Amino acid sequence: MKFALLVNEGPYQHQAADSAWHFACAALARGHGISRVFFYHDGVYNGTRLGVVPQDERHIPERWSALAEEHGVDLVICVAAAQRRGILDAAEGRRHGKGTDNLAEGFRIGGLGQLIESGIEADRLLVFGD
Amino acid sequence: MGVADKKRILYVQRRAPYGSLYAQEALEMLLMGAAFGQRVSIAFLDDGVFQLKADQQPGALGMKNYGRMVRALELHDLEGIYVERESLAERNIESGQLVLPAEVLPRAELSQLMAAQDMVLSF
Repeated sequence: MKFALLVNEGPYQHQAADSAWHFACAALARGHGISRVFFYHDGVYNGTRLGVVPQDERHIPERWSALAEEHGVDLVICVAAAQRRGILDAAEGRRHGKGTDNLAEGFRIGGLGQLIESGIEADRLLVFGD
Repeated sequence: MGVADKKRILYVQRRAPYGSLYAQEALEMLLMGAAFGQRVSIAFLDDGVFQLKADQQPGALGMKNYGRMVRALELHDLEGIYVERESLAERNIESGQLVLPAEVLPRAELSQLMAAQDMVLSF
């Protein structure tokens, strides 16, 4: 089965991001496909590369990055939600004159069209929220 | 794309309009997503029914007036705008106090509506 995921909460404060990641890993291990993970609301914070996490704790953004690298999962951060919260890729950072960027490896900035498209193409769209 | 090919998408608003950005961003998602030509509906339930109350005055909070934003739903070609009867009653809100005409549905019918969707996006 082909799944698309929507993650609506940031890392650590809520279970949603962990649950989404665990679901993605379990589905892939069983031979299913994860066509895309879309991040909205505070979920965009999953895509910062500036988190410095204590060594004995899970590093949620890095786990997502690894999932993208190992399985080619498309990690898309909503541009509108990301701009509000200060998550910028290099192009957006330049465009808004911020002089920096903070998007983690394997993530990209996209629009809501990509969420709707995933929902249409996937067999199931699963929402992970609070 | 014919009607048969279009997906049925239901947005479910469950939270109060202020105190968080869930309501506003969910509405923004619907309004953007409505441009993609699917069969879109929205349902307000639980504290989400507060989103439809007329005469919202969030000025002191420094937040945008959601009551004004939500009226944009009327400008879109939606399949339906629903509000749950029990949620209104539990909060002592009458359908005449709403900022736009919404179809009042009992909880049992709302769950049937959800079951009939291709996508349910709950906020």
